[in-house]
Amino acid sequence: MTLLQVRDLCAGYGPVKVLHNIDLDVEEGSVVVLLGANGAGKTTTLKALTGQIPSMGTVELAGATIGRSRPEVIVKRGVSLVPEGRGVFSELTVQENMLVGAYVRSQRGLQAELEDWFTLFPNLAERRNQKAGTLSGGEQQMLAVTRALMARPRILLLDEPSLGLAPVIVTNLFDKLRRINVEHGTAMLIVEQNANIALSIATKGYVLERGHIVKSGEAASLQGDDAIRLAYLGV
Amino acid sequence: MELFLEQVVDGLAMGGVYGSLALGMVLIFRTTGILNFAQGEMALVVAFVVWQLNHWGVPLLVAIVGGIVLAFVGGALIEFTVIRRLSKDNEWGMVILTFGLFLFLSNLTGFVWGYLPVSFGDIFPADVLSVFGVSVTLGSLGTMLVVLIEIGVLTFVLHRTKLGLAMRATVSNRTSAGLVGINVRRMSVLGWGIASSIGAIAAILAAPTLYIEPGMMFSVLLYALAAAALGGFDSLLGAVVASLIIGVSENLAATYIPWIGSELKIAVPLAIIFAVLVLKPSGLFGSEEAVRV
Repeated sequence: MTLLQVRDLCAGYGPVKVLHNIDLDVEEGSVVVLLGANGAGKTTTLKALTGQIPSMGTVELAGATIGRSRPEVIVKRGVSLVPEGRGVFSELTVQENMLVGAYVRSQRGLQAELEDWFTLFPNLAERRNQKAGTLSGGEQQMLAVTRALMARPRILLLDEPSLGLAPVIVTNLFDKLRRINVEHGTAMLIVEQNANIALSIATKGYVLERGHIVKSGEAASLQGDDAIRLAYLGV
Repeated sequence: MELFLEQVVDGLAMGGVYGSLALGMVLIFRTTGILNFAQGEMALVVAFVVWQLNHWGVPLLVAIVGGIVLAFVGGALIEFTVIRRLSKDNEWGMVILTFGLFLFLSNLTGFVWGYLPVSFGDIFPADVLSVFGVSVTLGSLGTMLVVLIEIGVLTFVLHRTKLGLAMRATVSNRTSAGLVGINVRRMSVLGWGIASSIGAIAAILAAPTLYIEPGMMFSVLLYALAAAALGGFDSLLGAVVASLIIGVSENLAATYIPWIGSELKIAVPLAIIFAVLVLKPSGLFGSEEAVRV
């Protein structure tokens, strides 16, 4: 069943149109990757989906329209974004970052839930009372992911989670994302330039070029596609 | 020795007044990242309103509560009508805007209430307590008590409630705050409302000693700014402790250093700030992130 359905999405910044009639679907519980070079419109797509910039077209979550709402309304509907560059609250502690992630929910039973995430991310547990600004890049990325998950989203949007991280950290991060997807059934739409690792946990992929979807298909078939291999996989 | 202690107690009470205004400024700075130069004049308007209500026969306590509520509404209204029209990134624009607000409100009070000082008398009973031979007025004690309660309530709200967490998250990163579901505009409105109320308490506390007149809050504003800088712009406790230090030091300097006297004593806290900022730019209690101010 389709969880997130996007049709004819157009968006941009003022007079500059960046996205042209984007169509994409994310199935319930699946991981979808949006590939593309710098400037292709990947981040713009996520900004439009989360209400940070104006857009046209239809965006439906489980059949209900969520397009053109303000960011805080879209979170309540079940769409959480892990923004590019993590966007953690540097002056707040790790634990406070996670608690504020649950802002749209009832505050009952949060402590037990925190412990669950700390079990999955032991690094964060050790630093739970440290200011988030003192964490390493990898730890901040993990924190940004858990913060978004604290809202109990139906779909998690991730904007270049591998950016600026060491390869071993990236592997670890995607391993955690896969576990979260399997264990919690959270659907994911991942925007990435690191196509190899993103496709390894995805079921489906789209390729974005200059604001148009130019290719889509099963993750495995995209991995085997010569043009994609040349452009995004570096082999 | 008695004179010394009495000067210290008076200094603490005056410092409490500065502290109340400084708390308001630090709160606005922490919730919206704006340094509000109009904080003192916003409080002045409220002091005049309290006086006016009292003058019309409303009991003083009722007038004060009404004034504090009005301050909240007024602060929220200023955020809603003026402040949010300007981009948060336009820092110089914000400085000019709050300065403009300062001038507007300052002249507005003169236009409405004139330039003659008025007073609504004592808030606390005029009794004097004798503690170990030192005379302490109930007014001084009451002022200090009010400021202590303010800081207690604010600290509780900011650090122990969901609302406070949301406010601090909004200051830390507006975009991310929106992304976790916080209505960031509402947080700014609330921040301005609460800060305006706290500032108004400063003017009401100061009214019996300073008298209410346009310009009354200007020196208080200078001291509060000094205290905010001294305490580190993002620390509530720091702002209050610094205010007390400033209140005491200006009083002692005026009493014991003959060539300073009551005219030059305003320079004392400025000299202290200068020294602190040279030695520790983030202030006594501030975190490094606040240095950008």
